[in-house]
Amino acid sequence: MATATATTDKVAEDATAVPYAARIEHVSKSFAGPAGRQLVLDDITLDVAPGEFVTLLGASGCGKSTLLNLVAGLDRPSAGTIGTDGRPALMFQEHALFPWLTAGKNIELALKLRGVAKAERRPEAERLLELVRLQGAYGKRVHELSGGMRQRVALARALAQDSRLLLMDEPFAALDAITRDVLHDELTRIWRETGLSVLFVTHNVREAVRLAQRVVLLSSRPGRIAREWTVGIPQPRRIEDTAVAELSVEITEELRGEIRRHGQH
Amino acid sequence: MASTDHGTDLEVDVTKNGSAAAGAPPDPNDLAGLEAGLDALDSVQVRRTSLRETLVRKVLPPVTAIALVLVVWQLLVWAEVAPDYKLPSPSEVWGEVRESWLQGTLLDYIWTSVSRGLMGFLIALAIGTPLGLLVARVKFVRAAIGPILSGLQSLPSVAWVPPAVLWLGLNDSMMYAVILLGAVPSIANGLVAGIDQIPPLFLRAGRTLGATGLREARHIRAARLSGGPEAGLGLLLAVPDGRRDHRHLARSRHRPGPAAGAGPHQQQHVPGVPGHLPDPHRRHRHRPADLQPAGAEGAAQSRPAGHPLSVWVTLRRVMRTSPWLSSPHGSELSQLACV
Ligand SMILES: Nc1ncnc2c1ncn2[C@@H]1O[C@H](COP(=O)(O)OP(=O)(O)O)[C@@H](O)[C@H]1O
Ligand SMILES: [Mg+2]
Repeated sequence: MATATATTDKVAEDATAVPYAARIEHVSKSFAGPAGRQLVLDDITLDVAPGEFVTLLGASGCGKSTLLNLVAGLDRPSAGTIGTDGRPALMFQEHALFPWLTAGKNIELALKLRGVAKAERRPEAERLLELVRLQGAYGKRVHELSGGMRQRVALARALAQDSRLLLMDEPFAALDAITRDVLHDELTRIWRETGLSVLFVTHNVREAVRLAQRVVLLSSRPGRIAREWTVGIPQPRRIEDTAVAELSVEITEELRGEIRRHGQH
Repeated sequence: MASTDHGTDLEVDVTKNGSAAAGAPPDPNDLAGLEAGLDALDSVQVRRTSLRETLVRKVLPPVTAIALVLVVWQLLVWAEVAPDYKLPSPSEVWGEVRESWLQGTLLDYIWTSVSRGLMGFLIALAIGTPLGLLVARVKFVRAAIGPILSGLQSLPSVAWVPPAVLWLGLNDSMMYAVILLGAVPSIANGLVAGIDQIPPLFLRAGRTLGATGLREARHIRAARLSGGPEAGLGLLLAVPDGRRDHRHLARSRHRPGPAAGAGPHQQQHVPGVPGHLPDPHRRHRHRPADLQPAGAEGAAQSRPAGHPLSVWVTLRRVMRTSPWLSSPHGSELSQLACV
């Protein structure tokens, strides 16, 4: 991976190379709620190494999206600092493609906003579509694509930003199981081909284990890092692999314990 | 959680039925094949309609209707239900039209109406655009005149004719008054609705791509309002196209993200009364029930109530991109459209 040539964006301490794709240090976030300020994230410290695939796992409402939005720079932490190597790309559960543009033009808009010269945009967009195996989709409108295809175009658009860090917020949660499974394979392939760093949010334990090198479990109310697992199972994995299942059982137990604590008082 | 995910069983089945043996590492070629199959099975079939089909489904019904009217008209003439000067026969009327065409006066008549409409539209645009912006952006103004504007919009223009004649007499200024009273509220309301309806998701997506400030205004807000060729043409013809919105709404779920906010500004979708105009001044928008989008994505996909400017933008786009315009005949037209 070409991380040695990385240019720093927000972090000034290390001017030559950034040893991380994202560095989250003592980050807290609270929102003004009906009952005063509600602490959603409490003292989160997490590094994503260059080229690393980390999944952030937690129950619904534990603050996963909040954290991802902070890393993406869409919101500011109440306390703590976040450093990223350039502006990260972000993919949502909703494809968030612009329906007034074709698939190809959606990607070209990302290229344009990145400053790619006009003549280079079309070939680059076609290359990216090929990367997500959608060669024929350039002129297709969003409504002509299936859910899985839309998420692949959204992935291609995110890749068009040429970021070193890809943030994904439950991007496959709305897809059917078969399509999701295929997209897991695709994402793994693309991650390995591009050397991207990925911070992937999910509430699905198997998905987390299937994809990640490291699984970070977030507790709820407030969101804290409860535990981490390093996943040693070699890629390519399958979601139904025994090793994946075994680790999933262990993590699920832990997650259930976390959730149970909230019912006790 | 995931271990109870209903999908797991299915996934196992797929591997067994697929060409890869269960447990073997996935073959990349097989993945491509699997994906191609999924795409083929899952994608929305958008068939290009043939010319014949278009003729039968779109052209034939209105032609039939017109023919029917002519037939009934002629029958009434033959039955002599009214004297000649009240009910001339279709052929007489046609003769008159032909005559004035040959004398060159027909175009004059038409031009008078068209130019009035066009001028009125341009003036309404000039008044309605700043008004709409003001109402959309300034809370006080919105509270003050928003409801009035919506009210005016639901009043048919014809209702203004009697008072306008009383005050201004039967002349051009009266015509313009009627046109403006009808068009200005529509334009202003359309603009307000267009600005309101930009789903926060688009803004967030745009921001992560680097569209902030002016770039956001241009590439996201304005682009969305102009809506692309299809949307613009739909607006021009005032044909709501609900089918398109429906198809992919079926699979989408509404899950507001944190920035989309569960706050009071979250737009709610309330099934509306068919035929009701969208009222941009209320937090929940009324839409015809069959156009009802099903959540954030729904709002994202549904067509914005467009600003009339979008018609122009659209025409330009269509003219620039239409293949027939690249032929020699089209070149002047497309140059015209690039002004
Ligand atoms: N803009 C906001 N204002 C107030 N509360 C918010 C806001 N965004 C998120 N929250 C609250 O923060 C908590 C975490 O939300 P979120 O990050 O979306 O959870 P997750 O993505 O893990 O399901 C929720 O309880 C939610 O109500
Ligand atoms: Mg979330």
